[in-house]
Amino acid sequence: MSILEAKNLTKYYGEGDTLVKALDGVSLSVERGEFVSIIGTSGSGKSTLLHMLGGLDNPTSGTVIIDDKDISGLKGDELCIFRRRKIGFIFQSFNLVPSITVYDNIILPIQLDGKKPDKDHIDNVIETLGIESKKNVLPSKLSGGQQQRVAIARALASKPAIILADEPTGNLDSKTSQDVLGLLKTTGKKYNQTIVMITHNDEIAQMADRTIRIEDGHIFA
Amino acid sequence: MSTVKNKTALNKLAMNPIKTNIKKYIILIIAVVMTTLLFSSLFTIAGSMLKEVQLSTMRQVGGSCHAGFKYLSEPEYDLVKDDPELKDITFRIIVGVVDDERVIKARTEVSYYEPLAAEFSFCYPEKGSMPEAENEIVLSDITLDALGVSHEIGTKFSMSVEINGESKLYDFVLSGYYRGDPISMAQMALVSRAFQEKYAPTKQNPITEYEFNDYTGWICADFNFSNSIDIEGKTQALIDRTGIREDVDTGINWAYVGGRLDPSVIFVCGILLITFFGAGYLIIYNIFYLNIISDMQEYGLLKTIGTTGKQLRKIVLRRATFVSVIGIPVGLVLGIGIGGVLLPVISNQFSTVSIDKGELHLNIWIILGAALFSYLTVIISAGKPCRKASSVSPIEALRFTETRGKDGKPKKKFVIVILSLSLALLVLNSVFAFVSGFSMDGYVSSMIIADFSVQDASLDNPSVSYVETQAIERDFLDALERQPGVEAVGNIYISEGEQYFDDATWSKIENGLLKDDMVREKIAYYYGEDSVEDHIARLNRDKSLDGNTYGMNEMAVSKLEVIASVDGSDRIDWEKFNSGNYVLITRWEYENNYCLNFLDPGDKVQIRSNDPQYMEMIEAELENGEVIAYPGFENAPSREYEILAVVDIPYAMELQRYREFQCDYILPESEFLNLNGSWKPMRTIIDVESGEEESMNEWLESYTTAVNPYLEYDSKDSVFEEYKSFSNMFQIVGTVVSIILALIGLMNFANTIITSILVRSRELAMLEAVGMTGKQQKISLVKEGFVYFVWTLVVSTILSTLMNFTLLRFIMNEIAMFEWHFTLVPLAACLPVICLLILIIPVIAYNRLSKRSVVDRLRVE
Repeated sequence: MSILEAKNLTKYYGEGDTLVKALDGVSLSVERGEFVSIIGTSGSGKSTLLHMLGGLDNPTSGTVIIDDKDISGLKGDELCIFRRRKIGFIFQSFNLVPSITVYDNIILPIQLDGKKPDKDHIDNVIETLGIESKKNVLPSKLSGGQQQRVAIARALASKPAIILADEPTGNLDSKTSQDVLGLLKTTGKKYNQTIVMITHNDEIAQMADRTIRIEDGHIFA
Repeated sequence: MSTVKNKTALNKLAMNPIKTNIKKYIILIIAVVMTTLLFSSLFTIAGSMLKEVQLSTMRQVGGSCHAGFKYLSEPEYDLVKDDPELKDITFRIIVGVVDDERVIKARTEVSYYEPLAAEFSFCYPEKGSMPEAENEIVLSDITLDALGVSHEIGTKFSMSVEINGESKLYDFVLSGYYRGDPISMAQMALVSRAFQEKYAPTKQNPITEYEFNDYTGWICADFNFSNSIDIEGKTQALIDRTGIREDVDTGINWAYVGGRLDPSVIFVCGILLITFFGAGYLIIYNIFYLNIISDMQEYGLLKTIGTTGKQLRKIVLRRATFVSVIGIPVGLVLGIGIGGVLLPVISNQFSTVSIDKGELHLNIWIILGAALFSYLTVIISAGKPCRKASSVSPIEALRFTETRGKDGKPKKKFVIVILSLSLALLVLNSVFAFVSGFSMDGYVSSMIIADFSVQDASLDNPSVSYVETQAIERDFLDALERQPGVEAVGNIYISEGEQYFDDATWSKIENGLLKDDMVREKIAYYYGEDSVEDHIARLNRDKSLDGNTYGMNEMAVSKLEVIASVDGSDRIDWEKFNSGNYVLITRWEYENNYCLNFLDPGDKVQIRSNDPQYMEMIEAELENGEVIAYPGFENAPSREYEILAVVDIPYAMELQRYREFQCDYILPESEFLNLNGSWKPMRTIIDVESGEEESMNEWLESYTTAVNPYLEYDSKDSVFEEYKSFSNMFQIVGTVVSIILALIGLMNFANTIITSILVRSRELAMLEAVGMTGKQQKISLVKEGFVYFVWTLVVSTILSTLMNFTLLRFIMNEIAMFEWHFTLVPLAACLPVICLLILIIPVIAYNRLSKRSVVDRLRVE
């Protein structure tokens, strides 16, 4: 049964001569618990696709269905809340809030939802990711690998059904990349999460259950 | 929406960035402080002055109550006293008036007051207590000083009081006194109820027509409604409701009657307010707008991790509130402080109240208004990036950059910065132009006609209804003649009444003056729209206009301003005029110096003698059939004169009371006396040899106190003194306001430049990373500032010039005390400082920025 489905997604930027088709009729489907990697070169439209899948950006046409819900029908805050509860994001540039501590960053989406963080679960995640000693420092004091672990911890903290990762290792060296991916894979299995990861690196893409190739806005399965 | 417990998270998100980005918020707070300061100082001064004017009106009227009924009998008072619509009602009972040589210059009325009535009438004793025993009395310090009685409670004294037309000496004991205000029409003497009942028992029957000159024993009720809206309507409703007689003598306190403001004044105030608000708004908006890039990126980030639009707005609101909570109180305190310092200086120059003058009247609504306006501005300005962020997708917000013009510069930001800088300079320039245009020379010259002017003590007091117009005695003129140093003496006589015209002359007036729209407007203003035709018909029947006939000697005539003459000369040929065949005539005048000639030079007029020997009582029947008698000169002989010239009589020389036409004639002194028999001058003006002012001043001082206390004198020096302190006030206030505005303008500029550098610290670090040296960066920042400077210079110069030639010229030409002239001095003074700031600020700001490494700056926003 598919948890995430995209039908005929298109995203155009500009118009006339400067029209860029970032996505041009993309359809795909991801099963529950699957680890899928989307691979493509720079400019192939992979980040755009991920943003569409997560409802971070609006497609020009087409639909995205998450857990049987068509998210193109959701507006503004509705979409935001749906996303917050269903999807964990991991960004290439981490996107940590610089002014609050690591721990606060991790529990932020849960708090925004007005829920009590599941302390055991979060401690578990923090321990798994090996960042216990950094809990109370500001993100700016961490290395890139450490920041990405915090971002992963944040994505896992609310136990979302789906994790969308945009080049999670893009800013990391190869040793750290391996560590982070390993963690992502184990935690995914541990918490039975669906993971969609974007990368331009074949080697990394191979770690997934399935690989989808994207080029010039088109998908090649 | 369900209540979501996310307060702590939101608080952290809202407040933590303030700590890490404290510089940005300090600048924001400064902007809020400046704006609030601007509003609150303005509101404090304007509000307090308005309050003081209102209070002064109340003191002149003699009370703070909304309205009152006069001359009630006791049963009539009982009808209204329990009316449920009245918030307060209280009364006084008229006893009489102090009739004592010593208080000639301080008219003092004697009444019994209820304590509340005394409070409302500003005469509740500040020292001592209300009178209880029959012989106890409360007076004002002014009356006490005039009587020469010491300010000590329990002092025994006696004075003559006129009750029911009968003067008698009474013994009193001072039980208390209050501070009297010389602007009041009369001082109050408060007697006990026992004294009043004994000598002026309360009237029990309604007043009749025959008793209108007898005030003794009547109740004057003063009352307040719950609010001051439509007092007139409420009072009429009260009359209808209580069934008190329809023709009851009603007084509405005109301190509460609005609509006395000139529409052009309201217009000007409106423009000023809008400009001030506009400038304040732009100062805050400007700073927020400059931060939009970093704010948008922050909001985008928050959105990607699931912050809803609503939560985003809460965060923004919390920050805006934080900035306001610190900035607004500081601004209010500073603004009110500055207002408080300036107020006495301003207030001293206006004839409002004379006790507790220049006091701060803080109106809570005004303060709240200033605070609210600042707060709203902050919220609106802060909400802009927030609204933008919540309307676009998170990714778009993250990638937000400003819309840039063709040259790659952010267009909108540029326009807003230039506008806000220029507007601050425009306000400064306009205020300066206004203040520096203050010139009372023209105004004063009509007030000063001669070195000294002597007249009856009450002649020029507008609050006195009957004045003595033959106060200058022969004794005084003889004594004056014996004084050394007198250069010239001018006598001004006046005979009041009506001017009559023969048929031919009248037809000229009927077809000239009376056909003018402005004349009809003035009649409508006096008698109502409906009565204009009737009134003109009555004038045509009587062939007369109201007007006085003056008699003047050569010196006085030389002070007249010639408008038109037979021979075209602007001087009166005294020999010819004094021949006895000629008369001078004034012009008809209405608002805004709109003047019309009654008649022209060369026309002939008849002047009827007002010699008392021709006076007879003339009987006339009123509409209700009643017959009254009044003194008239119907059968007095008249003489014909030719109009030699049309003239204006300077304000300081004339009888300062005006009727609708005011067709005044001037005859030579000898001819005036020939016509009217024995007559005494109303006013004597005196020029002295230079250096003799001091001794003449001393002599007049002693003469008007020791020899003839009924006389009073004015000197050129005292008027000049008054003028000087008035213009001092303008200079002080103008300077302070200009300095505040200039500082605000300069700080606004500094703020703008600093913010634009802070906001772009990452952009600058990137430039540095790709090899732009610090020096090159500084130069490019200075260049950028210079572009702002040039635009500000151009825009503010154009706007200020336009303002100078339009609104300012219009306003200043309207007001007599101002003289319009073109000025850009404040711009010329401020622009070099701005130029200097442009050179210095980027260097300082950049040096501070570059203390952190390039990598550091690249990493965090």
